[in-house]
Amino acid sequence: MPKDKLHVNLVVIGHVDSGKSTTTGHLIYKLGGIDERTIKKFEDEANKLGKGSFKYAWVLDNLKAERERGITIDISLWKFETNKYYYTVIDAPGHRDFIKNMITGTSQADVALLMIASPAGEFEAGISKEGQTREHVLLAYTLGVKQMICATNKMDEKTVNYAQGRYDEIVKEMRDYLKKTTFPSFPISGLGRRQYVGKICQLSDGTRDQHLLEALDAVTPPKRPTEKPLRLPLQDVYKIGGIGTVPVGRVETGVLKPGMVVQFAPSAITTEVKSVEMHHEALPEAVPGDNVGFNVKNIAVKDLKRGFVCSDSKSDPARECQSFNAQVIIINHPGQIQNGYCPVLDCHTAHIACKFQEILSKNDRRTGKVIEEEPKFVKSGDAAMVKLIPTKPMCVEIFSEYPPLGRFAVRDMKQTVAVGVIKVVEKKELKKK
Amino acid sequence: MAQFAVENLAQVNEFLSNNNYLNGDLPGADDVRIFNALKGVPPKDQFPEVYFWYLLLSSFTPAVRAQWAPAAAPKKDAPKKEAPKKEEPKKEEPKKAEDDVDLFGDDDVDPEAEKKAKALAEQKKQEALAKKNKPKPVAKTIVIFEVKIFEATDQALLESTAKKVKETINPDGLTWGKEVKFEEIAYGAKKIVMSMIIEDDKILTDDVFDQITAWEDDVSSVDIVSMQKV
Repeated sequence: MPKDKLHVNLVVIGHVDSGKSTTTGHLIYKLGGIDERTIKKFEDEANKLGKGSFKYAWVLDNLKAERERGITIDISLWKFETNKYYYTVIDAPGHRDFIKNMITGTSQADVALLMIASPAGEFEAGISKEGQTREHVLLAYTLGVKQMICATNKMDEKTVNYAQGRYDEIVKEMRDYLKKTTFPSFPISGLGRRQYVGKICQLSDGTRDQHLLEALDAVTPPKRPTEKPLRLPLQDVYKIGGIGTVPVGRVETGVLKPGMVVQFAPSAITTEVKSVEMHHEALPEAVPGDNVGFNVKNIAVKDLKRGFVCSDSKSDPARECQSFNAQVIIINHPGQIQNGYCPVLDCHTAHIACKFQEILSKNDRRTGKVIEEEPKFVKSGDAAMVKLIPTKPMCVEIFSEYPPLGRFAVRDMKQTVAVGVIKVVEKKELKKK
Repeated sequence: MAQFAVENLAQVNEFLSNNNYLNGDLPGADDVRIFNALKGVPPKDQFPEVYFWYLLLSSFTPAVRAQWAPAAAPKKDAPKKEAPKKEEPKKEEPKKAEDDVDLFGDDDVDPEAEKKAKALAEQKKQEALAKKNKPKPVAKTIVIFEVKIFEATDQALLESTAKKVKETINPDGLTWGKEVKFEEIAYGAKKIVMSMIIEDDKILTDDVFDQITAWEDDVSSVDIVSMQKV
């Protein structure tokens, strides 16, 4: 695939049976995500599988079987290409651990594609309190996904039959809903059940709606935050013979260059970067998204560890925090959460227990408006402003300044019980030496 | 119905962009006719829809294709996979009905017909039940993850660690992906990249990763690369 196209990470979300997987499959099937060799290979299996089903379903069934066997890792990473972009697509799984992965994981979604089923009852079920649409939209927003495409699916369903009225109704409802969660603008695509991607959906009155491909091309190119100060959370630290100490991590913001004097938080050690490498090749500079190792002078391996944050000593260096205030959404906690609750937080690569020092207020999940000051407790479904104090030295940032370092998953009983976005950080004073 | 001709592939292509087969949702006589008339694989660039349709059809054996030829009755039920099995035990009941016929020779009610109707109703009930009880497809997630070890330049240790992971961690609901890669990090250090397919209801990723990081003398960390619905 050509290198001049920008990379965009897409996550497909929506209620069960909204057509998520089929649409995802269709995108990669139509847009070059599956090579001809692979399709040919499936022919041999076709006699045993999927006779009489749709041709897409047939290829996708085979692809699914292929993935399930895990013969190659690359086939699991789905890609497709539009005129403007080079997309990597994640079909959001229902697995409980997915949310944590979205928060701390390596593949941050730039764009969410929200699938909505248009038939009577299906749309309403998806958007109802129990439905997954609201939850997914809210999470996407919380996790920092900036753009959303809404696709109204199954417009060819008999009961819908491309009816303009139904379409308008859904559009209006979604606009109202998404506006409140600050997705100001979003293209909406009308889709049939079978012919998704390459077709323009004709509504009953003959008007033409933007189709999915156009919507995918109309996305604002994601900005890689190179102009911000450097933040690089450490994943691992190696001692390599003949080289020395090599911390490794992904550049989240800013640029890392050889010769730069870096500072690590929370320990406040500074040192000079001798060289930077990615995939065993020297780099003149590393930019956001790059997974790099770098060689530092005069620091022992034991002085650095996972969860530390590397920054430029001359440009807003990262520091240890005393406490921080965060908007926390409780998503899956069996009981009540009160002051003093001390679960483990996963924030960038840090994994540290933090105390809910004070639940400052209970808020409306979408608008943030205060419902109750200093509530006695909060429970699943609630949003709250909480003051947290880490039990060990920790470095976090404000979400609006450094998103990947400003969002976290709250882990308890091996599950993600809440997600949070950091609003205020109280930093420890640096001891001057 | 549109009359398709092999001379007018553009029209066929157009039709296939909206339909799965020339005969609609299921393959039929038109599909076989055009397929047989085509001499070889149609050009992908010119007629992409025809190309994929051709690939699809060529996956069936000629014998299967031949069945579609004479105005193939729409076998709507054929794709439902478990239907045939269910019917077999039912065959006994009509037989019993036959035995009974002679004992009650009256012709006011036709006991055979009645029994047959009953058997049919029973069968339908069973089928409905079977459909209901049919297990929903198990939700699975494919997780690609990387394992980092301290001695990251030691290829033998990388390989043995990957092997150890696969051999020692095998809970119900987890299947290891076949491929294991050793990717360059930097300065000759490498990491293990592997995948697992897990059943959503049975496996928590932390349960698996805790077991790996418990080998704390060797393993530095485990990170998820991607999670994706299977």
